[in-house]
Amino acid sequence: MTERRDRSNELFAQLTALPADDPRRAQVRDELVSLHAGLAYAVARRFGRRGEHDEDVAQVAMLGLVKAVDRFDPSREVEFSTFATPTIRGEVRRYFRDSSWAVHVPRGVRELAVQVPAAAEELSARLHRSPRPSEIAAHLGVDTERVMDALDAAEAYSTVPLDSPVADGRPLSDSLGQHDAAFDRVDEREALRPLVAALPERERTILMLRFFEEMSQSQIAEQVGVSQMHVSRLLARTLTSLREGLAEAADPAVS
Amino acid sequence: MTAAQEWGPFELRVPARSSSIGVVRSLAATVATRLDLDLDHIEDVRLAVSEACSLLVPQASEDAQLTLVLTADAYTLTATLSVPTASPTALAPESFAWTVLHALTDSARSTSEGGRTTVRLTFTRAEEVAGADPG
Repeated sequence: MTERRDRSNELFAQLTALPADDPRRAQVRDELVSLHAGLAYAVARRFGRRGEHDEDVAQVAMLGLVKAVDRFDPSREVEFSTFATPTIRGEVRRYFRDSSWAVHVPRGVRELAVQVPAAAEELSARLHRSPRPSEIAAHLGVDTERVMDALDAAEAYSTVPLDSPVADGRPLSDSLGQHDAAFDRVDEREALRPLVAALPERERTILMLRFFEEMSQSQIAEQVGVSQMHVSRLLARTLTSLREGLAEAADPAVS
Repeated sequence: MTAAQEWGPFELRVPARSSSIGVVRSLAATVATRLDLDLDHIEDVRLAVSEACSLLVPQASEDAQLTLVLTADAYTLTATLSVPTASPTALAPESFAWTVLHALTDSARSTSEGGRTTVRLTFTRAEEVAGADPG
């Protein structure tokens, strides 16, 4: 154990000393990864037994380990394993999140669903606007129809939680809205102000940019520094929370 | 599938409950995707239809159905959402929901007649970018 730690520290010291383009870096990195492979397997095992994914999970965990090696800053006084474990776990979690619809979606679509957002971002940067599915298809050299399926599949997964029921089993918005129509709009604006003010900084910025500056999601993504898909999700979530907040303000009994 | 092709009408009827909104929104987004709108516009369609549903569901009569009709011509995608209403109430045009709808659509208007409240949303198919080849 101590032996491994010493060797690990030694290798990280080497890695830090080597210039970024030194070919020897790859070798040091490889040794670090295999030295700590047990860590990745341990995390993978904890997530394992969820069906036929075990092998994939182990690979994803290894990928997380590689990222951890690349990001680790040995000058901070933290053990590598302490640093790496959450990184690996995060990677595995992301994998589960992104692949939990895998059961319903043919494998090809699933793979494409990973490539499409990357292609979309690349094209957005190049075109200075968001691309059409047909443009993404041309870029990836696949059939447009398949890109459309992939977009549908990605969304089918990511929008599910938005309308999910609250504690008593009814979707929250079912109990809301009755008051919307009668809701005086001046009151609404008053009620909205503290809700908007209470939003996290980034959500508030995105909301303002979208609805008051009328920027497109791609433009916002570029300005805020997150992906367009992420902007889309944050916007949807923010709108839902504002709507819920307004209804609560209209009828405190709902909460 | 050329951009100029006429599409629809696609019609969907669901129980006017908030649990249906996800389905309504998904159909609208799928049609927008298949019309080859750009990704921003697809997201706009999804959010706007969702928002329109949230306006209409509380207006609906008990056990009523919400209807979504999507049509497209060469220039425009139109989403028409309606519910039967027992006592039609004007949807406050300056509410936050309308601010959202106006930002997301090219036009958004609501009418209330013949016992139905209707929200009609139009989205331009942004012809100016058609034919742009990213390759």
